[in-house]
Amino acid sequence: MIRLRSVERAYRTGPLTTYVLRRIDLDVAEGEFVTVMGPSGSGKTTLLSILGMLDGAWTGEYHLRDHAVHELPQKRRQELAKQEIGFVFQSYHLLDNLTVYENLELPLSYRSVPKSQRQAMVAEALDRFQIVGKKDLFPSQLSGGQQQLVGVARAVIGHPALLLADEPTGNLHSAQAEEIMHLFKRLNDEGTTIIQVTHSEKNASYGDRVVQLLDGWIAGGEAAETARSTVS
Amino acid sequence: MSDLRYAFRTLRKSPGFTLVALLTLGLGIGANAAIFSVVQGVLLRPLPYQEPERLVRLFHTHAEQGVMDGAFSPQDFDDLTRELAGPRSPWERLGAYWFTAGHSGMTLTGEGEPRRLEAAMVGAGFFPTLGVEAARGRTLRPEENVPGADRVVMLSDRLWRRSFGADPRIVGGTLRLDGEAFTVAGVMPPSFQFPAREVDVWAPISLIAEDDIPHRRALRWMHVVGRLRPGTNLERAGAQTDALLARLAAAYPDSNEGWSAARLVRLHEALVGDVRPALVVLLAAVAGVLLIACANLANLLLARATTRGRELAVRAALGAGRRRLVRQLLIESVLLALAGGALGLLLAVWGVDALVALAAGDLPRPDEVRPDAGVVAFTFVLSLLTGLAFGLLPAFRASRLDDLHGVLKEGGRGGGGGRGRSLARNGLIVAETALAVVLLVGAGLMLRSFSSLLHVDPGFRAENVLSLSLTFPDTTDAEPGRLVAVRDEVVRRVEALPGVIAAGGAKTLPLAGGGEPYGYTVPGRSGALAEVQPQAGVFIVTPGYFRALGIPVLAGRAFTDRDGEEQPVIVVNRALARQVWPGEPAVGKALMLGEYRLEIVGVVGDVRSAGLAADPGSAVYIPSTLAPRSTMKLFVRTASDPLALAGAVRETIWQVDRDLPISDIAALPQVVAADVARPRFLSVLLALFGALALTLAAVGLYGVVAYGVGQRTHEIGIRMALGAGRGRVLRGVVGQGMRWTLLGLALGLAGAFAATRLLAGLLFGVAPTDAVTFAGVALLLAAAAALASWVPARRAAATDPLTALRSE
Repeated sequence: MIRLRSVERAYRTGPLTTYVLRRIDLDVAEGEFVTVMGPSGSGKTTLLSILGMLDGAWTGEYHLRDHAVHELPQKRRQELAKQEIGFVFQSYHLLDNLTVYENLELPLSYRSVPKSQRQAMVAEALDRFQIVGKKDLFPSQLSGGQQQLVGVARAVIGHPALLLADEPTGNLHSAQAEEIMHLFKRLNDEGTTIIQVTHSEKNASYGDRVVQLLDGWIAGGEAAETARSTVS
Repeated sequence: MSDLRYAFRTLRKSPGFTLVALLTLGLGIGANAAIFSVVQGVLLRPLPYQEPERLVRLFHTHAEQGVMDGAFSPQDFDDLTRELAGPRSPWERLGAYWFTAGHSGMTLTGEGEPRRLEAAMVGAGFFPTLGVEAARGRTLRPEENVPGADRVVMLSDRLWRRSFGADPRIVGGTLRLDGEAFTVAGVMPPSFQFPAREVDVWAPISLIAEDDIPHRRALRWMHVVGRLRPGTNLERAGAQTDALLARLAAAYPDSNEGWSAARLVRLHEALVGDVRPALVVLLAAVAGVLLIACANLANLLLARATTRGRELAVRAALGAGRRRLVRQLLIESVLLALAGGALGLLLAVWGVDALVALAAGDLPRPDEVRPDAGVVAFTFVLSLLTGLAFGLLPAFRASRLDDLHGVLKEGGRGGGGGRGRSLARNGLIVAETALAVVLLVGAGLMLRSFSSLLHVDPGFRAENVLSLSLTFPDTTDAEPGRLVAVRDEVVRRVEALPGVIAAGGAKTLPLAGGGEPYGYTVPGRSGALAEVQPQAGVFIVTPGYFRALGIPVLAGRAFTDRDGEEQPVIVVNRALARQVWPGEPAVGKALMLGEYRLEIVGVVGDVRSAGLAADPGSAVYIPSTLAPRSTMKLFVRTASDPLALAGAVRETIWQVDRDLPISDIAALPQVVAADVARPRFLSVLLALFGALALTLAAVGLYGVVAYGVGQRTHEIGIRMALGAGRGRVLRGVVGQGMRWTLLGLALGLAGAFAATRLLAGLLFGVAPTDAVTFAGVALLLAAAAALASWVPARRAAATDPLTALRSE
């Protein structure tokens, strides 16, 4: 499903170039549940942003299904992301002035889905996530767990092939976190490919495998080994 | 729809911002709507006549004498009508009329107190030329416009309603005018106010007898209006008319030499042309105010955009393209603008009446000024454009999410928006400062001009003078000398009243006109000097006139009761004396007016008869016994408040003749005030708009500086922790605010230098590039900007470094 080759992300500050990601090679199969872990500053969130096409200033090759993302212009990438990817944020990032219903409807309206179809899809999502009774509430009226639940529902309402989650339980207490992880597991069982970033070993255990990032490299990866041997 | 709903919620969630924005927009759009109402009514709305674009005013011109707006003699008019008839003529019809406010009146008796009505005397072609029908009854028939015909009259709608209770039975009824019975033929529609708004009745021009105005070819008193034949342009009509007038000048050299051309002006232009520059200036001023308001709002939105960075980033992350984000933000600003426009329209409806009142009768077609569907449409379109104007830049800036990932990661704030947004904010400050400068300079110039006008010496002393209009019965044929006797008795008795210092009369009010233009020659001159026939304004006055008005007698004497038929003398003004006899005394010399040789017995000071802004020009004063007129303005100089004596003066006059109509009782300073009505109108409004512009610009600068201080709290804390004192911080913040203001100031002064030349025609006594005004505005704006920057600077200087360092 996903193939990254020599993906790099750097920031230039005057004459200095700071690398956040170095020669990332990564393959993710359809239906996999992959966890990306690593210490702070290792580049986990950056990697997720590149995969989610929120960050376009990278080099290398990125294939998503049959699409060579690295060859696509920015607008086409945005279209592709709309169709194929759902994103769950650590801070939920629900819009405060929209109700739960409207927050769920928003990504569908950006895909120009006709109104009647939107209504049906939102109704289905509310039912699926058992939040029908909360559809007219605003985010400020929900608990953290409920907000994240809505965030997840929003991310999957368009039935994306790929779900990216950046520290999805980072702001939740353990009971809520467990609820969210169970939900991810269920979605994965239903066929959604999931890549999550987390610090939590417990959360990582829900996935199929772990990818460790260290200083922008995939730890234990071929590229990292080559670099280490060059230095030594 | 969802974007609209969201826009409502967003605005409702920020009541402070929304209220400020609504008020700003309401004032800005409202001012534009109000001025547009005036522009639409006066300049844009077509005249209420049939095919008004074909109507033209004809003016007889004499290039050498510099006369561009002369009238025609009855004989010239007859020749025009006769020779320019037929299918080849450019004129479908021509109509003549005579009207001079305050002079061409008729006395109405038998309907309560005797009253003076303003009467327009119109020829047979008048109403057909204008293409207007009576609202009730009919207009005059051609056979009613010959001497000796039955006397008929048309009433204005205003007179019909005010004086006859809109009684339909008045048509066909009889009125007593000037002692004669007139049949009311009809009532004109309310929209018909030609040749002037104050006309009460229209009567046949054939009623003007030889005694009233001699029907000589050399005497030009008929005004002419023409209707062009369809498809005829003004140039062709002018050429053919000029050709005829040239033939008349050749055929009648004694009377028509030099009068060989006509000036044609579309009737609409003739009525409103001289007020157009003032209205255009006002329209430009309110547009400037609105632009400043837009810049302010744009800055506010730019600042708000940083707090909405997270929201916009989330939307982009969920799939919203840039166009969609821009659309959403624009919907918010357009909604705000439409709401502001609705408030503005309300303000305009209230404000229009105040505007017309402020113009104090100086505005032509005031009845056409009203907020109507056109004004509503204008306000709607303007609101839409305003919303786009102030919303577009912030929308584009805010939707440019270069670092989506970064914004989402930070969990909310999009930072200060970077250098781009900062540049945009400062750029807006420069722009609105520059605009404010242009407006303030314009306002300053108008105020100085107005002040100059008020300080002009009119040549007479208006304080403590009562003025009123009298109409004496013209019984010259039956009782020759009675008019003069009654008039003299009135003046004598009024002058004898306790508290009255002097009383005198003239045909016109001072400042109301340059006198009747009359050519004169200087006896004994030969050669080239004798060829020239200069013109002077002729004023017919009673002996006490100069004393009553405080016009100084500089040489010789004023008139006495003995001056008149037996002693035909004149008094001239200093301007004429200097022009004709430079360096020599004029007293004892003579002038020829027509065939009359008149000795000069006195020289008086110059009076600005044509208005405070006009040069005095040459003036000749004739004793009223030489040329008695049935209408007179009486001036009564009193020892104290003139209006306190008004009742006593009126009673005294009625003791002489109970049927004398008395009207227009006023203190003379009001007359002077009326002369400056238009400059006052412009000055007051421009000053108001200038003050608004200054306030908006200062508030805008305050907002930007305060926002900048907020963004730099951490930096300021570091600086203070490293040793920067309060004064340094203050200077730094104020300096930053002033930097952009000074740039705006410089640009604005340059712009004003170019733009204010357009005001040249409206200014008096002050140049469009007046240095004092420019310097004053620069200082004022700099002071306002310094204050606007100092307030947030003080707050910044009071920062606790520890608190600031923690707030990142």
